[in-house]
Amino acid sequence: MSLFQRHILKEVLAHFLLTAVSLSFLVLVGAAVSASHKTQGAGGGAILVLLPWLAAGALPYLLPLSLLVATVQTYGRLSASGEWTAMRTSGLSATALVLPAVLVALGVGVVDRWILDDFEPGLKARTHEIRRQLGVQALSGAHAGVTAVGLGSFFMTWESRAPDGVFQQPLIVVSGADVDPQDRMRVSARSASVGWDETGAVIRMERAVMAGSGGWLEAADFTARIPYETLTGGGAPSARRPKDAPTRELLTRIAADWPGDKAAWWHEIHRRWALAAAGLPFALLGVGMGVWLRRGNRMAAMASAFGVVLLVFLPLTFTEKGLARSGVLPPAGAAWLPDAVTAVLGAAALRRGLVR
Amino acid sequence: MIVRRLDRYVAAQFLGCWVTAFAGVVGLTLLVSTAGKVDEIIEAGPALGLDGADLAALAGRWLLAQVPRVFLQTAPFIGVLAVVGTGLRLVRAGEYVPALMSGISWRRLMAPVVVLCAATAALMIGVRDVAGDRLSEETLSLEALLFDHSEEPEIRDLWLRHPPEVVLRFASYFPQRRMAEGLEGVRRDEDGVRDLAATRAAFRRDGQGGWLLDLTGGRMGLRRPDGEVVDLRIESLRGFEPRDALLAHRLRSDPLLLGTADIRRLGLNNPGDLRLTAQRHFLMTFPLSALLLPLLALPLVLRTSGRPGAEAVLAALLGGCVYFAADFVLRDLASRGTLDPMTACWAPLVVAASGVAALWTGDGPWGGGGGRRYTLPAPGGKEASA
Repeated sequence: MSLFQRHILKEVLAHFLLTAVSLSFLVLVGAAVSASHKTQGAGGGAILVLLPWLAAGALPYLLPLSLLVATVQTYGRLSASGEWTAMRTSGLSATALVLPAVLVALGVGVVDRWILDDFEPGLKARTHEIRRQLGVQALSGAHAGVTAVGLGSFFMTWESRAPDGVFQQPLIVVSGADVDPQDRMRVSARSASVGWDETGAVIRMERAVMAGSGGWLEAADFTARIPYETLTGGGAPSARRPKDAPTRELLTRIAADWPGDKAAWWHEIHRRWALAAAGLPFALLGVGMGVWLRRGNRMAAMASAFGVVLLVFLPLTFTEKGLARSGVLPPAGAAWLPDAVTAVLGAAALRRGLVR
Repeated sequence: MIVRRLDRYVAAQFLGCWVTAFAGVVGLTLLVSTAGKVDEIIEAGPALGLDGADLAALAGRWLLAQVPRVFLQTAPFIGVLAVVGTGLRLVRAGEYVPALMSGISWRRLMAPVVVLCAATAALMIGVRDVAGDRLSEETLSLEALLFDHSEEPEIRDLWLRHPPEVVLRFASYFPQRRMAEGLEGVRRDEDGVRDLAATRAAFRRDGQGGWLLDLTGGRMGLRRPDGEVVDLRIESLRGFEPRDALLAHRLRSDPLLLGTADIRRLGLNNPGDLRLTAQRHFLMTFPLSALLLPLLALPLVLRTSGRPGAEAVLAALLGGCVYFAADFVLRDLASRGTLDPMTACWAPLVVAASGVAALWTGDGPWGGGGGRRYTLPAPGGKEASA
């Protein structure tokens, strides 16, 4: 790699890291603000549990987008300051000058591929577990300033909570389509304490008056068991969309001829691979736009990059899915459509920049 | 005249940076929202009998409805990035020092940024308090169409609370008709414990400015403290309003757009809930941070020595993180009853305001823009300063 190429690589990497950190910051803070509104007094720990779940979906898009901004900015500056022309006249071809951006795109692709193939599906598979954890934290960790918790088909209010965690004067309603009619109840008690076992919450109540399917019941001590499924709003722990499985599992299913929508699985696999590879067309587009526009300003770079994403990439993600579903394009071909169109735009921009 | 032109220039720089940073976050958010829901959105086409253009328009409206939420979540931090971008640009383009040399103080130069940050804070309050209800209802209708393929929104498993001790559950609530299906609940008072159930319930005005919840198939079992049980038919309930149902839903599913009046009403229905008290203060302090955090970041960037760049961006982001972390921890303590909610919510803002006061009134600790005086020989041997 020549001195010029190393110089470009360093600049692309610096801009890429700065943009990725800035955008991640905004995404994480936005997710944290949203999470802090939704955790029902479960405390700070619940936010930390929720945060990766809320932000992980943005990462596979954030990295190629940051690369686009970084390449527009770097090559725009090179072009604006005349360095691009100087390097070309020193004998370096356009392909050689694009190589540093391609190398960073390959690195982005490796990271994105891991996120999309393994990390994100793993996180989705843990949705039930995360909901369960939030439920446990909201009920166990409910502190002095909270007087009600609603979780799935379970709702409980209380007057106050003693330092030992005992709820005073609780009112409990358990009801919902996923609750067996015999287990539905409306209870008023003098006090209640919540414990946990492997099936769910164990609520021990003193001086409870309960209305249920069997009429009224009064008991000095009454224990109600609330399954995790009731607290998480139903659904078995293993419930997830088949296509949310890790890529390796999807490939195994297809190879083993499992029953299911194989076209949708193929589409999902190729969508992940295409998104992981999106760094390459984005880099090409960034180089083309930079050389063509000749603007080294960060904000100009970001504006053109986001314009492309909002006006080209976003509509294409809709279009490709529609085309795959309607059978106009094969699932694999449709999944690569956004990359292909972006690459064509990038090549056109680069050609225009070189001619200029 | 020159100052006015300069004001417009600085304002345009700031707005450009702000819109760009916001477009980035919005673009990312919309991409992520779309990627997760595109299957369901496409299914809505045949289910609703819409062609591609109509479906795209519907999906576009739904995506647009997400933009105010992104704004309310991130505006203060976008302001910080925009201020950093504006300051860096002025310094790097060699426009900052000449402006000072021309006799304009750095505070006056940056006055348009202050005004625009204040406008952002006001816009946050306006979006939430004025347009929040409409936006929330619009989103509910659009999501009913796109994801439930229904013209009418339906809220499932809605829990309502009313003081002193009533808990109601609607299996389904239809906000447009103000009607619920599958009501059940429990109430405790000095007469004993009441068990409520009805197949249907509908809100109607009682003619005295209030609301009644008319019940179909309503029955109430009263169990007195002495064990006597009385079964009664019940035709209506008083104390609940259609707004309570919507607010209870929004508190759980769409809390970002809740305004001051909404939180106050929820506080009345949930007495003793310190989270709502803290939230009421947060509704003021978070928009105000959209004014103060950028002002805190600005002197970091306006340095004439060295090359402020990545380090200014990182310092500003770190400052934003520290502010948000402190605000979050203190609010958490407030909702635990450890700290007074007002103190907890306003403390980070007061600290930020003190920082702004220190940096904007003194010479500034950054050895640069914060009030540094540039001297140059003036005709006649005297020194002029800027």
